[in-house]
Amino acid sequence: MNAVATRLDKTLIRREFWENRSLWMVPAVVIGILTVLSLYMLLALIIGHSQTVNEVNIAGGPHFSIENMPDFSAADSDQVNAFVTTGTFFLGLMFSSIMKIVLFFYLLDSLYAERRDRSVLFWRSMPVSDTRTVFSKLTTAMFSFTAISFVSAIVLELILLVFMLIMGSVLGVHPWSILLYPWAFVSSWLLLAYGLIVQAVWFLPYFGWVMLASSWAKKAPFLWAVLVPLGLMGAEGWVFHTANIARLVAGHSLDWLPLAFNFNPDDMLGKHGEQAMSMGVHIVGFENLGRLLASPELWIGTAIGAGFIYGAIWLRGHRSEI
Amino acid sequence: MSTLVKARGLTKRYGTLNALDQVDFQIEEGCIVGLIGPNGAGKTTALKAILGLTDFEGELDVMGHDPRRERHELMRQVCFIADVAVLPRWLRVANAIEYVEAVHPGFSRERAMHFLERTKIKQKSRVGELSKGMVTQLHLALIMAIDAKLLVLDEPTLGLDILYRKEFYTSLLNDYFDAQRTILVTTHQVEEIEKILTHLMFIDGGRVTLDRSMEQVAEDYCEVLVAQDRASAAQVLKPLYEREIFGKKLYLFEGVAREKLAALGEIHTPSVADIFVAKVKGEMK
Repeated sequence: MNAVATRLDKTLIRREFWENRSLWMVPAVVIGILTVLSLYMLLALIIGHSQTVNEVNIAGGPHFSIENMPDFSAADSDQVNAFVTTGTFFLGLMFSSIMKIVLFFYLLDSLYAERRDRSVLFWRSMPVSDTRTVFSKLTTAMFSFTAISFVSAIVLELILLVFMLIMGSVLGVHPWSILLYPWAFVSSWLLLAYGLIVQAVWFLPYFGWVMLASSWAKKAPFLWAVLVPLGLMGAEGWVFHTANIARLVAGHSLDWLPLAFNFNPDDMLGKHGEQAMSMGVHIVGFENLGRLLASPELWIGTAIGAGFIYGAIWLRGHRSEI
Repeated sequence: MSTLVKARGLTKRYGTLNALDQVDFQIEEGCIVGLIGPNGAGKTTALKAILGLTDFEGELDVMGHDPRRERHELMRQVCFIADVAVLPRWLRVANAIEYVEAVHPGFSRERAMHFLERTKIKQKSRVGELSKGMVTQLHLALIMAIDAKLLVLDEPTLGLDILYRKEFYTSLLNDYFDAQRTILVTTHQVEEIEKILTHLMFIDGGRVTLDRSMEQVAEDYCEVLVAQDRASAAQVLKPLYEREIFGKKLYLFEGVAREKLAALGEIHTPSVADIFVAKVKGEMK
């Protein structure tokens, strides 16, 4: 029975990927574009170097020169750690942000598209409960967020690393010693996984809200998902001249950071280069898991998210027709 | 023979409109029941109630389940095709088979392939690339490959050409139907299914206006072609419906002995469509 159940759930999740190829295609395309761009810069630098020109200026783009290349020939483990962790962090931030946008549209369609094209009548003619269906979609979102962001960040990181090693060798700055510290990579990836899993859970109220809008809307779920909170914020501002809802909704998206890590997004702003890099070292550590789990915000958010999900399940059972 | 579906006082309101109004009916195992009614009569509402796709008032028992609460349990034993083309456009044929195979314990891949072999549907195609008829064929192949006790078909052959429609009902009868299975079908193409039905149910204005076996129908309804000069003798027997044909009067009677009618003129058993028209128009008088 259990084996049957697992197979069923796996198929439900695969179904989601059959329908929503953007879940993996968008990050794949981003990796592709950035790889081509980096390759272009790499070639430009190498060609530039062979012509004994040490700088490359891409019109309107970033400025590269040998002086900016990190020199790892004399680097110690702390420096490598900071460099690698910061790199992983930014790549993770980029892909998790991309996935948030992709998942917003995925969830917006998740319970709406099947009603719009009436295929809900086919899906509901199968012995799969509404609860299970909705959970398969939520699981797909949470799984995609963590796994796809994770894999994408690492793949791009390794590609960039190879490019950097080639470039460094050509330029004679010998970055190979970075490979003497494989633990720097592993630990940064563990940290990345931790951050992504925390976010996947922390973002449950957002996921749940979008699913609720998706199962509620008779048309334009986007407007429901966006205008209802905006309307509430506007009403609050108009009546009470306060912005508590806005602060709550926007604040919750960042509150996990200082709880899960020794990291404050406010400190991050205004710091560049060396400082931002050295911060990478300080965010290492899982000792904050306890603090995170003890925070009421996590549990209140999860409860609100669960309420939205329950509403979405109920609506699928009682309002499956547009 | 056991009762699969039992409805008592089944009522469904949309605002002030009663789509179903205190309806009672039963469906027995091993029957092929035709649910016939004009548009908006409540056919689809009745099917949806049975399938757990809509709320309702009253009692409804489908194989021991309350369809409102136990739809997914019920769907292990009930299959249905609601209207046409509700398969999503993005779904590939091979994936559709894979999906149903994984979620439905009664699905047989072999049977599905057997049905699909007779069509031009390719495994790699997406539903959006198939013609309307092919989508229906695919849906039927998926559903007929499921070993279910009750099969519910709502306008199953809409959009199919004549060849495939014939083939569909033939294979439904030969390959699918047996004493353990029950089929509930609605269609406007009454003449296509009347030969395979065992039971007939009319629904009109939210009420069941006729519910009996086909043998009973053949016994109870009779048409007589009467010459104009004997029309008054026929009128006395209170025909349900009359119309004129080749200068003669054609009367449709309900529950009048055939011997009596034979004295008036040429008698024959009316088609389901004729009875249906008589019932609907007759009620309006």
